[in-house]
Amino acid sequence: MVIRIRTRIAVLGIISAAVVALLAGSVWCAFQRITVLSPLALEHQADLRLVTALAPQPALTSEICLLAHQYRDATPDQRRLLQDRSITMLAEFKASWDRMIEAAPNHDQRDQRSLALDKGGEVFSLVAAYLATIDAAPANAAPVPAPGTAPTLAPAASALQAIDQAVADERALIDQVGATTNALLTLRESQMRSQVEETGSSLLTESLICIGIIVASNWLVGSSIVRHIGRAAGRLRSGTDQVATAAVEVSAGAQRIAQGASEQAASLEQTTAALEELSSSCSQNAANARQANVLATEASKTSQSGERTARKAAADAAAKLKELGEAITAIRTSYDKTTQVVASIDDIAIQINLLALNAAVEAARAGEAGLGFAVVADEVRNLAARSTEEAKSTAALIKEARANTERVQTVSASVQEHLVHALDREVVGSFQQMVGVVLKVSRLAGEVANASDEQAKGIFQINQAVAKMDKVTQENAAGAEEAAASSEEMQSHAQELTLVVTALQALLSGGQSALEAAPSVLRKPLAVSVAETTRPNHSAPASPSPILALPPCQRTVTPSRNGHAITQAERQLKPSQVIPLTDEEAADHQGDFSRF
Amino acid sequence: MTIQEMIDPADYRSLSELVYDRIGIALGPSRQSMVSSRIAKRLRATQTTTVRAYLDLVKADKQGEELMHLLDAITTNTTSFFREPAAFAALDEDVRARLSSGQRQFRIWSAAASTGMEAYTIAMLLAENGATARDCAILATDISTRALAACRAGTYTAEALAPVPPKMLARWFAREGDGMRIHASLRALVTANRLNLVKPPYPMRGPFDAIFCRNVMIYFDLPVRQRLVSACLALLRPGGLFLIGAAESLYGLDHPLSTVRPSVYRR
Ligand SMILES: C[S@@+](CC[C@H](N)C(=O)[O-])C[C@H]1O[C@@H](n2cnc3c(N)ncnc32)[C@H](O)[C@@H]1O
Repeated sequence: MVIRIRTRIAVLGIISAAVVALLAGSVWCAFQRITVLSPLALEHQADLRLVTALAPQPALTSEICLLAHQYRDATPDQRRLLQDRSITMLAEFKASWDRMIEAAPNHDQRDQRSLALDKGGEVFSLVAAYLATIDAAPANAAPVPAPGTAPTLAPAASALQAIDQAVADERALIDQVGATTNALLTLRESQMRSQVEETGSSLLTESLICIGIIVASNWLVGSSIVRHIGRAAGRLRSGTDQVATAAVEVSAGAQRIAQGASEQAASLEQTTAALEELSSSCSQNAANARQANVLATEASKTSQSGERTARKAAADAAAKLKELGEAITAIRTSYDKTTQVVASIDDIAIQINLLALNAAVEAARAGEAGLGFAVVADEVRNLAARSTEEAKSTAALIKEARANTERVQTVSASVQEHLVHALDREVVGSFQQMVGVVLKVSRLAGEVANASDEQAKGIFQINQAVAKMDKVTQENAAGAEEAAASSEEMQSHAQELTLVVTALQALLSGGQSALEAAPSVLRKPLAVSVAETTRPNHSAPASPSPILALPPCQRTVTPSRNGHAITQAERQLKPSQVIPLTDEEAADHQGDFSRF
Repeated sequence: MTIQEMIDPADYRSLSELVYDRIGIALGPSRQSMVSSRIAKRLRATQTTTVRAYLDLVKADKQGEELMHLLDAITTNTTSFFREPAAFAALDEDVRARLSSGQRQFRIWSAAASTGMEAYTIAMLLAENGATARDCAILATDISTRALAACRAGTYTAEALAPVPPKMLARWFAREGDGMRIHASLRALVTANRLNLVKPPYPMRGPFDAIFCRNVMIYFDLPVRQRLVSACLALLRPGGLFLIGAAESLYGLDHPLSTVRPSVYRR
C-alpha cells in the first residue's frame, strides 16, 4: 500500500527537524564549551580578575612605604592627612585582597596570594606601628633620616628599614603571583584556543553529518515520492493513453455514424426524390389514363357517332354496294343472258353453220333431189327467223348490258366517292373494329386511371412515411454530427491530457524541460488522425493532397481539426483575409435588439 | 452514383470556403457526405444538378435567400430541453442568489439558440422563480432562420418535450395540433433574432447576467472561438455566468473567467 505522499513529506519534515535540532543542540553544547560559563573560561576570567586585583598592589605598597618615610617630618596636619590616607590604603589593600581571594580559583595561587597577603598585611602593620611610634616620639625629636641613609641611627630608622624590606618582599611575592597567573593565563588561552578549534571542527563534522542526513533523507523520501508519483503518473499515462485511444475510436465511430446517417439521409433523400418522381409520374399516368379514358370515351362516343355515320355510310355504301351487287348481278345476269345469248348465238351460229353446210352438201347432193334443198332452206329460214329474233334479243341484251355497265360505272363511282369518305368495305370493317378497340381502350384506360389513383395514394403514403423517415434520419444525422464534433473536441482534450501527463513524466524522470516536451494541442496545430481514419474513402489515397478538400480557413488556421499539412502560401493568410468584412455584414444580425 | 461522387473536390472546397467565410463553420473532408446529403434537397429544390451550378445560384442571388437556405442546411441544430442539466442548475442557483439580494431585472442570452429549447428552458426556470416579461428578457439568437422560425413558433413534439418535468409541462405547455405549444407568457420572455456569432460587433448593449454559448464552438476553429468568446464576454457583467457545452472547453483561449464547475464559468 502506497504511503501517502503527505505522510512521507511529514516524515521528511520530522527527520529534518530532528536533525536540525540535533545540530542546534551540538552547536549549543559547543557554544557552552567555549563560552564565558565554561570552567576553563571561568578560571581564565578569575585569573584575569586576579591580575586586575593584583595591579594596584605594588603602587599601594610603594605609596605606603613613601608615606612612612614622609610621616616623621610632616606637620601634625599633614600627619592627620597621611594617617587618613594610610587607613584608606589599608581599606584598598583589603578590598584588593578580598578580590584576590575571590578570584583565586586554585590552591597554589591562593597559597601564593596568602603569602603575598600576609606580607602586605605585615607591611601595613609595620607602617601602622611605625606611625604610632612616631606619634609617640617628642615633636622635637630628630627627624628620621632619609630611608637608607642612616638606618641604624634610631629605632625609627630601623622600623623604616623593616618596612622597606617588607615592601620589597611583598613586591617580590606579588611579582611571583603575577608571573604564575600570567603563566596560567597563557596556558588557559592556549587551552581555550585549542578547545575552540576542537569544537569548531567537531561542529563542522557534525553539521556535515547533519547535512548528509538531511540530504540523504530528502533524497530517500523524495525519490520514494518521485517513484510513487512516477508510478501514479505511469498509471495515469496508460489511463490517458487509453482515453486518448478511446477518444479517437469514439470520434472515429461518431464520424462513421454521422457519415452513415448522412449517407442514409442522402439515400433517403434520393429515395424521396425518386418517390416524388414516381408519384409524379404515377399521377401523370393516372392523369394520362384518365385523359385516355376521357378521350377514348369521347372517341368511342364520337366513333360511336362516327360509327353511326360510318354505319350510315356503310349502309349507304352497302346499299350502294348492294346496288352495285345488284348492278353487278344484273350485269352478271345480263352477262349470263348475254353469254346464253352469245352461246345460243354461238349454237345458232354453229347450227346455222352446220345447217348451212348440210344444206349446201344436201343441196349439192340433192341436185336431183332438190327437194331436200327446200327443206333446208325452210329450216334455214326458220333459223334465220330465230336468228333474227335472237339477234334482235341479243341487241336488246347488249343494249341492256351496256346500260347495266353504265349503271355499274356510276354506282362504283359513287361507291368510290363514298368510300373515299367512309372508306371501302374493308376499312369500314376495321373502323368498326377500331370502335370496338376504342371502347376496350376506354374501359382499360379507366381501369388504369383507377389503379394509378390507388397507386398514387399508396405512393403518397409511402412518401409521407419516407418524409417522416427523412426527418428522423435528418435529426439522427444532425445528432450524430453533433456527437462527432463533440467527440472530436473530447479527443483533442484527451490529447492535451496525454501531453500534460507526458510533461509530468518528463518532469519526474528529469528529462527534457517538461513544458517544451508538451506543447498544447490546442495552442499548436496538431495533426489529428480522425480525419485520416474516417476520411470518406472516396478521396483516393493516391490523391497527392487531401488538403484539396479542405476550406482554406482550415488550412490556414485550424489544421488541428482535420490535421493536414499547411502549405506555405496558406500560412501567410490571416483570418481577417479569410473572413473579409463586407457590406453584407448588416444581414448577419437581424431583428429588434433594443431590449438588450 | 454514390453521394460523394456528387461533389467535385473543387466544388466542395469552394462550398466550404463560402460556409467558413459566412458563418465560421469549418467543414473538413470528413464532412463531405454530410454536406452532400444536406444540400441534395437544395439541389432538388433549385433544380440544379451540380454543386457548382448551385453555388453559382447562391452567389447570384442578391437577396441572400438561397444562402439562407444553404446555411439552414449546413448548420446542425441539435438541441433539447434541459440539455446538460447541470448548467441550468447553476443558473438557477445564481438567479436565486441574485433574487434574494434584491435583483429583479434579468437579461440572459442564448447565443446559439437553435430551435429555442435552451431559451425556453431558461424561460421556465426564470418563470418558476417568478420572473415576468416586464423585468426579464431572454435573447435567443441563431444564424439559421429555419431554427429561429421554430423558436418563435414555440411548438414542439412530444418526443422533444420528454425531458421536461411533468409539472412544468403541465404548467407551461398546451396541446396544439400534433404537438405542444409553450405558453404565451413564456414566449413573451424570449426574443428570437438572427445573429451571426462570427461577425462581431454584435448589436446588443449588454450587459447580460448569463450567456449560454453551448455546443456551437465545437464547429469553430480556435481563432473564430477566440473572437467569439471575447465579443461575448464584453457583453457579460462582472460576476455573470458564461456557460459552454459539456464537451467544450476554453483551452487555448484568452479569457478572464473563473471556473464554477465544469462548463460553467464566472466573470
Ligand atoms: C448544436 S446547436 C446548439 C443549440 C443549443 N445551444 C444547445 O446546446 O442545445 C448549434 C447552433 O449554432 C448555430 N450556429 C452555427 N454557426 C453560427 C453562427 N456563425 N452564428 C450564429 N449561430 C450559429 C446553428 O444554427 C445551430 O442552431
